[in-house]
Amino acid sequence: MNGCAQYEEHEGSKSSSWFRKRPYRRAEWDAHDAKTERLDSGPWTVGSERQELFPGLSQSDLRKDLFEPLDEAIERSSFIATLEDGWDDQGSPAIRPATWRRAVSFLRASAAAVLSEVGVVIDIPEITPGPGGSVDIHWQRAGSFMLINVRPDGPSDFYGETVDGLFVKGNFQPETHHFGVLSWLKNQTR
Amino acid sequence: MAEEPNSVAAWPKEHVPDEDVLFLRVHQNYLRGRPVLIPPGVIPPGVFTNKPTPTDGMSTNWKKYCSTAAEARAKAKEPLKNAVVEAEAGLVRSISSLSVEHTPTQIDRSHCDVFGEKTTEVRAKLSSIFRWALPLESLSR
Repeated sequence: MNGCAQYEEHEGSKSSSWFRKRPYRRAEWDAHDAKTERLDSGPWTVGSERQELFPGLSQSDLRKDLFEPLDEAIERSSFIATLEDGWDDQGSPAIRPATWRRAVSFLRASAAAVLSEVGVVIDIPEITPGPGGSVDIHWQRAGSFMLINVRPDGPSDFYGETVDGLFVKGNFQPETHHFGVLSWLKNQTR
Repeated sequence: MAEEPNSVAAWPKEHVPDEDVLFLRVHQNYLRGRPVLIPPGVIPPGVFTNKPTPTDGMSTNWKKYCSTAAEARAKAKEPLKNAVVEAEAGLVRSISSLSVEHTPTQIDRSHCDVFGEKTTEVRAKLSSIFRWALPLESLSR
């Protein structure tokens, strides 16, 4: 965990009642998850050479695996920057292009940092309109999820949870790479 | 309350049992960036907001008086631009900061509000709890 995040991780107690009441598994709807390949067979060590971690894959292979689908997802989300006031027919405010750029810049920089520092190719998230002119970056698979909300100005926040009852949440500045959160999530969903 | 905030209810306010289903409409602009619409994928957490202001509630429709997802969609300003998701009231209440209240209007006996701040944590949990009831089949202009 880096940056100015306030990190919390709990063994379920606070949220245990909620977990017991959550009966649904969403695998049947997770079309995107089916495309996700686990390149990190672990265990791995931060700072190890890529060739040791993935003997069959070059650095350029890994970057291609990450950035081609990530950039496609970012491109698909570019409509967010064109949404005008009332885009949901219920009065939601426009999302400024600068806010969308702030979100996707954070995402791309974090993904690059995770790959560079710990050799993990992150799953491709959904990038969708958030409340109050913000942008959501969302992962959900097999009972685990992470939501990062990037606001127009100031600090943004995140919340993630695993099927085992662990959760992580905090505030951060998107301009500071917060890649620790993403690798944490990745580790929980192996 | 997002719908008819100034109306006077013509219907009695009732308790919503935990096992009863609530419908929530999802505008197509939440789904516009998807490569495919079917299967519908995860539910965008942005749909779980209080409207028209953060201090209002999140409008839903109680299945007791709105028997199908199609009926809930028909209540939208432009129905074909909306999908519908659903969840039991008890699951929504299992998030401790939320309450479900029947808030009927003169024109909509099924109207319910989910009160409570829709933080990033709450929205993420709601996205996991709700499920698709009526996916969007195509995008309209």
